[in-house]
Amino acid sequence: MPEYSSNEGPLEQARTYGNLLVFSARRSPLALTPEHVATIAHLARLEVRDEDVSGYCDRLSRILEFVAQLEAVDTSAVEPMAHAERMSQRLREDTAVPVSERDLFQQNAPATDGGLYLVPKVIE
Amino acid sequence: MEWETVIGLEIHAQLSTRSKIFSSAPTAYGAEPNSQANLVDLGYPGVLPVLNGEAVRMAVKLGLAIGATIAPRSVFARKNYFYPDLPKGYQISQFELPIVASGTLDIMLDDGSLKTVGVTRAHLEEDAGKSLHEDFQGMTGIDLNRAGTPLIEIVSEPDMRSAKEAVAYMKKMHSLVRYLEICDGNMQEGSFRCDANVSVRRAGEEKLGTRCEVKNLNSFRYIERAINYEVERQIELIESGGTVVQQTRLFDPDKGETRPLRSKEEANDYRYFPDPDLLPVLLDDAYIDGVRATLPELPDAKRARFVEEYGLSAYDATVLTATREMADYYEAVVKSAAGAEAKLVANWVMGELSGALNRDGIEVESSPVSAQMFGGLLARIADDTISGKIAKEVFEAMWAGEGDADAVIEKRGLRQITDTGAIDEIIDSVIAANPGQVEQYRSGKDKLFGFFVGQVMKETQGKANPGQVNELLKKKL
Amino acid sequence: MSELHSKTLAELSGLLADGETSSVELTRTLLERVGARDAELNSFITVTPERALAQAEAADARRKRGDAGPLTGLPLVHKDIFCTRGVKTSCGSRMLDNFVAPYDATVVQRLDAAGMVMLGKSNMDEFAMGSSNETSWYGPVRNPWDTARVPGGSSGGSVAAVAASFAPAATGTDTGGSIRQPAAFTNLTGLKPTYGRVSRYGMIAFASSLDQAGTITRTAEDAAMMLGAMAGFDDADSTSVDREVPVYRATLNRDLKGLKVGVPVEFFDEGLDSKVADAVQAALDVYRSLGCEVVKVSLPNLMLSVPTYYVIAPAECASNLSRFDGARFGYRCENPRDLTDMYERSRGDGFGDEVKRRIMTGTYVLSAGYYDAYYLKAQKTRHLIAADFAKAFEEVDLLMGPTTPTPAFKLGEKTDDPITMYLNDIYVNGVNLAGLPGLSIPMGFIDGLPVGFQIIGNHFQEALMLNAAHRYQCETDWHTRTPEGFK
Repeated sequence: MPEYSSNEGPLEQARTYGNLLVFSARRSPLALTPEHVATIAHLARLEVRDEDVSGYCDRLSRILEFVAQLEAVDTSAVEPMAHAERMSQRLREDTAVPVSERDLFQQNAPATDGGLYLVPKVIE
Repeated sequence: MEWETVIGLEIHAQLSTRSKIFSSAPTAYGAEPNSQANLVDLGYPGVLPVLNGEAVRMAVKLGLAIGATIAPRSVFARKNYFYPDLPKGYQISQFELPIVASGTLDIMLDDGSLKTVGVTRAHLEEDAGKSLHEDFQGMTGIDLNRAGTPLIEIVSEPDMRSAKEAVAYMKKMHSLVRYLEICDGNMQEGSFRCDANVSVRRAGEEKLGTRCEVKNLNSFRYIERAINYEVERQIELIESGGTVVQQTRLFDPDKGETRPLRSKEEANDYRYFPDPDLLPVLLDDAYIDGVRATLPELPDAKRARFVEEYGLSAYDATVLTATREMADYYEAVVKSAAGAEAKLVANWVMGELSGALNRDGIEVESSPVSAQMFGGLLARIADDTISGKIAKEVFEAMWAGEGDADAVIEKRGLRQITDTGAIDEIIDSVIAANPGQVEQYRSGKDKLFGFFVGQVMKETQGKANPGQVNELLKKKL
Repeated sequence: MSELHSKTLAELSGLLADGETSSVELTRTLLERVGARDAELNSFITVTPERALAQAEAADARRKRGDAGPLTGLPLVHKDIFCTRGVKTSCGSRMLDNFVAPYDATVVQRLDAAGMVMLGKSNMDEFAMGSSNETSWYGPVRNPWDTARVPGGSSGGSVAAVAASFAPAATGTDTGGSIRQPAAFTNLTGLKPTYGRVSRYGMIAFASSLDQAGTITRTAEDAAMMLGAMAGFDDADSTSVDREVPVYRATLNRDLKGLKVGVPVEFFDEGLDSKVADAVQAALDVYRSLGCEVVKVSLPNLMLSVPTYYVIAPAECASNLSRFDGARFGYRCENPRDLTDMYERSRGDGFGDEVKRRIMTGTYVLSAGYYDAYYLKAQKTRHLIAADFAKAFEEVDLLMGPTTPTPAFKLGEKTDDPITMYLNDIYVNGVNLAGLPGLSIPMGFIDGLPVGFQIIGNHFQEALMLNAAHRYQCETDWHTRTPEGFK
C-alpha cells in the first residue's frame, strides 16, 4: 500500500511520497559524505566496512557527477520511456498449477524447519 | 470543545482467483507451509511475473460497480523494502497509475439517510507471505503460501466522520465485493481487512489534523473499537497540551487499545519505479464493456427494486439486500410462497429465519430450511391452513429436519380448525363451564373477551382460526 | 583443413550429418582441451563432463533414429547467468556460489531440445556488471589473443572459450554491450537480438528493461543457426514478443545491392582510436563494393547513452538484486545477530565491490528527492536516444560503425576508474536503451589485437543484419583467424 495519507489527493501523493529525512533535495550532488554512503548502504542493506567508506564516497560521487550531465538536457517535452517495447501487458489465463517441488527448492535454503524458511528473529 | 473525527480507510480484499496474480501457483488457504509457493512466489533468480487476466477483470468489475474511471493505461510499479515475508525485496503494486480511480459508495446512516463516500482509487498488488514468530530454534519461520495472492487495495477519501460510518462503509464494500464474486470476504482468514487513517480536528477547522494509521483490522467490531480508542487518545493528547505524531499503530483487541507498530519508526523510502518486467496494462472500451455486461444487479439497484417491486420499506430492503445470498433467498421464498404477501415474507425472513441463522451461526446459503420449504410454510399461513403462531412451531420442526411444512402439519395434526360447527361446540362448552365470567362479561367487563378466546384456543390446541373464533364468540356472548 | 576444435557450427553440423565424426567424439575432444588449457584463461566456472557426454550420446542416438536437427550434437558453453537445472548457477558471484538451479532457463531448454550439448558454464563479470570480466568472484578471465589483456565483459568467459576453441559457440547476455564488446575483443561474431526476441526467463536479471540473451560464434552463419533455435515467444516472459521467427540461415546470401547503410557521425568522436576508425572505413569499403550505399546519419543524443545507461541499469539492478537476502537461497553470513545483520552482512560479503557500487548508485537515483532529477530524467533521455535511432531508420536500412573505441585493454588498466571503464561501452549502450538488435563481427587487427565492426538493425531486423554480416564474411577472412597460442 502506498505510504501516503489518504487525506491527500493522488497527484500530490505521487510527487511527495516517502519522507526520507536524510538527503536534502539539492539537485546536483558534488560529493557524498560518509553519512550519505551509510544511509544508502542501509537502505540497500549492504554492510560497508569503515575502511571502505571513503572509497565508496569517492567512486559513487564520481559516478553521480558523471550521470548528472543529463541535467543539462532539455526534456520538458519528452515522455519517460520505461520499456523498450510498445506492447500491452499480456493477460494470463487463470489456471492453477500445483507446486510439487518444495523440498527441491528448499535444498538451496540456508535454514528450514518443517517446510518453513528460517531467518533470525524478527523484532517488531 | 467540539471535536470532529476524520477517517479514511484502505481496504485490502483478496481476489478469489484460482491462481496467484503473477504466478500459476494455487491460492487455496491453509495448505502445508510453502507448498503453494512456486519459483515466482519465492522470488527465485531468473523468474518473471506474468499477469493473471482474471485479477484484472475483477478489478475492473469493482471499478464499474462504484462508478469509477477505469484507467485505459495502468502501470505496475515496484515498492522496494526488505522484509522476510517479501521474497523479492519489493512488492509489485500500482502507484502513479492505478487501474481504478475516482469512484463513490453510498452508505446508509442511522437516521436512514444516505451518505456518499469517495473512493480515491483501487489498485492491484500482490500479497506478502507470513512470518511465524513462534519459536523455531530461536528463529522466525517464513511461509510464502500467501505470497503473490492477488489483492485489490481500495483507498477511500477521508470522508467518514465516525467509527460507525467507517463500519458502515466497510460493511457496504464487503457486501459489494461478495455481490461481484471477486472476494470471499472471509475476514478471519484475512481475505478482507483494512487500515484506518484516523485524525481529529476542532469543529469548524478546515485543515486536517495529523493522522495515525491503525493497521490490519480484520473484523467490523475491531474497526469500531480501534477507531473509537484512537479518537479518544488523540483528543486527550491534544487537550492535555500534546501533539499527535504521525505513525503506524496496531490494535490490540485484548486490551482494546492501539499502540505504535515500531518503537523506532524508520524513515521509509520505498523507491517506487515502474516494474520493467511488466508492461503497461492497456484496456480498451470493448474490454470494459465486455466486463460491464457480466455485472450482476448491484446492492443499491436491488434495494430500490425491492422497495418498488415488493412494496418493502427502505429499511427492510436494505437488510434483505445486505448480501447477495440473503437477497436471492428472499426472492426465492417470495416465488414459492404462493399467495403470501411480499411484506409477510420479509417479516418472516428477517424474523424467524435470521434469528435461527444467528442463533446457530449458519450462513443463509446453508440454511437447513431451503427457500422452497420456507415458501411452502408461508403459503400455509396465506391459505389459512395454519395460524402464524402455529407456523412458528412448524418452522422450528422444519429447522430440526422433520421435513417440509405439509409433512410437519400433517404429522403433528396442526391443521387449523375452520369447521364452524366444531368451533360452535367448543364455544358452547366453554360458556357452560364458566358461568361466572359470562355474567361479568355481560355486565360490561369487556376485557374478559380475551379470556374466552384463550379458553377456546386452549381447547383447540391453538388450531382454531382466531378470526372465526372472535366472530362466533361475539355472537354467542 | 583445420582441426575439429576450431571448426564452425555449420562445418561441424555437416561432419556429423555425414558421419565423419560423432557428438561423443567431438565432446570428448573439447572437454580434453578445456581440461588441458583452461587454467590459462579461467573461462569456465563449472565444467559438466558427465552431463555433456550423456547429452552427446543422446544426440548421437537421435541422429541414428533419423530425427537430428542442424544443431543436434553440437557443443556449446552457457554463460553462468542462465539457470541450469541440477547444475550450479553462480552468476559469477560468491552470493550464488552454493546455488543449484532447480529449473532450466528457456534458452537452455530450447537449445537442449535442439540437441546441443552443454560443456559447462562460463565465467562472467559478477551479475553481468562489468566490461572486462574482472569483477567475477571466480577471478578474471584472460584474452586468448594476449593473456595480459581482458576478454571484455560481461560475457568474458563465453568469448574466451570460443576464441580459444574450447567450444564452437556460447550463449551470452547483453545489457549494455556485454556480447558485442567481448566479441570484438576476441575476433568473434556476437549477436544481441531485439529486446523481446529471446526469452529472459531463467536468465538472472541485471537490468530487466535492457537484458537480452544472444549468441557468441565464429561466424554470422553460426549465429543464424543458433538464434533460430533460441528465439521465439515464451509465455513465461511478459516482455517476450509473439512474432514469427524467420529462418535466418535461408536469407544469408541475399544480394546487398541497393542496401542503404547509415554511419552515425557521433561514432567518430575523439575517443575513437584512429586505427579503429581506419578499420571501420575499410569495412565500409567492402559494403560499397557489395553495392551498398553508405551515407552519414546523425544520432545527436548518442553521447547521453552512457550516463543514461548508468542511471537506468543500476536502478533496475538495485531492485532486482534485493532478492539475494540470505533467506531462501544463496549466501548467508555466519551467525547473524539479528535480521538486519543477516541482510547487511550476507549482502555485504556476498556481493563484490562493483555490484555494491551499482546497487548503491541505483538506490540513490530512485530515492526520495532524487527520483525526478536522475531516474525520471534518464527515462526521458532514453526516449530521446531511442527517437534518434527511430529517425535514422526512416532513412537507412542498417547502421554501421565501430563496436569499441579501442582494442582489448590490459587487466587492471581500468579498474581504478569506473567512468573510463563505462566509457568503453559508448557505442554499444544506446542499442540496449532503444531495444534494438546489434551485431559485432571481426574487422581486422591492430597491433595483433582484433577489433569489431558493429551492425545495428531496426527492431526485428536480425535476418538482414546476419545477411549483411555473412556477405562481409564471404569477402573477408578476419573471422577465420584464431589466436596463435590456442591453435
